[in-house]
Amino acid sequence: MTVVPGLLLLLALTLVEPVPHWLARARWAARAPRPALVLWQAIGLSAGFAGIAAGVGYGVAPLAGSIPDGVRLLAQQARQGRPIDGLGPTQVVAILASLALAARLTGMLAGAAGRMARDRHRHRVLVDLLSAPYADLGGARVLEHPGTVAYCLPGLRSRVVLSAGAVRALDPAELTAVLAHEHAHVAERHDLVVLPFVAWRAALPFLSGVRCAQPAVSALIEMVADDRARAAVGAGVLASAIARVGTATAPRGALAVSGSPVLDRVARLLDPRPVPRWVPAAAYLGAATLVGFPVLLLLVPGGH
Amino acid sequence: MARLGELERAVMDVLWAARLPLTARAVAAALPRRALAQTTVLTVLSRLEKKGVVRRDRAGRAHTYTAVASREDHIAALMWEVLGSTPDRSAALARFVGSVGPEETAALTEALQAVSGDAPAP
Repeated sequence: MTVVPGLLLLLALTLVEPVPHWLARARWAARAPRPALVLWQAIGLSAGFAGIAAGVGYGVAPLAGSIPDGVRLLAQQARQGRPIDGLGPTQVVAILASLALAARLTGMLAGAAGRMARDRHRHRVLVDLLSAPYADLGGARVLEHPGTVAYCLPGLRSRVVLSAGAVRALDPAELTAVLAHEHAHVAERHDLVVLPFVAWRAALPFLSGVRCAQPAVSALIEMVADDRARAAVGAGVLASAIARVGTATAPRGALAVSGSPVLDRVARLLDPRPVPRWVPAAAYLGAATLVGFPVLLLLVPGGH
Repeated sequence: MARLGELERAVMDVLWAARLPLTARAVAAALPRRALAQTTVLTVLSRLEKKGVVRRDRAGRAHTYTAVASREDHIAALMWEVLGSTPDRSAALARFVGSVGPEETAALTEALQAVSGDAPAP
């Protein structure tokens, strides 16, 4: 009697293996990056939740008719010092596996968040010592370096940083485009959007679906920031800023694997093809369904 | 807060320019246009020491302060970090355009010409 845990497991496996590959390849995502990002978040959340709930659900099945009741009983038994009464060895293993998965996912997330905060703090301390904010550049800092580099350190004390080479290479309109793009990252906290995918990639590196999620999410984040910058300066200026910075960056050997996020960005700016209205609507609906479905499954009474 | 940052930058500029160990008194004397109390300079120096960019040594009865690395070295290290950053390693910083390979560079150059052909760059 394990229909609900079986469905949850099936959902988790589907969301972890084929679905990320589909979404990473989906053409519409580049034309509707924001809905696509919401869908990615829903996939991650739903897969993690369903995976953990499947093991727990299977484990507590002998205790009660529904999973929430079973978890309550299990907690009660644990308080009375006899947690595994009425459970067979496979149930115990399933529960322990679920707990291990939950601990690994949250542990890796916390670790990645801590590492990110530490790296960023150290970097920001040095940037602040090396450069004053430039009022003309919207408070951006300029480092005396001939390379053409622009980046931001998101966070509560965010910084936008340009190299002197970038300031020289870009005309004023292009500089405005770069700054608008970086300010979009800062304002929308895109670092937090990508963080779970960085963490889960590190937590489950043997799953190719999990591995392909993070680069796809990173690419979409750039497109969202591009859309904000395009609204400020126009597509042509932004595309030429991207091309100028891209061509000036020293090539890094064999990094150009499987598609090129930078070229995709320029291509969509030069040839904007808006998606039909139903595409974002379907993406949002899909996201809501993905998150809601496993929760509803859990509440099914007598689903075992 | 902004003033403290400014002060720290000014003190670092003095140490970077000196390239030699300086006493707090010498740092205070070298600061442009400010007549700062030496205690303020000492506070700033100890903050910089905590940040790991200044080393304090004992020289006779006084302490001397040295920048642990030159301005150029610090910038080079930051740039190395930025250029070497791949999004999968850390989400600490976000680059405007990531590293591109030679083929992409060629395609981008073409795109750049297309853009500036439509509307000549100012």
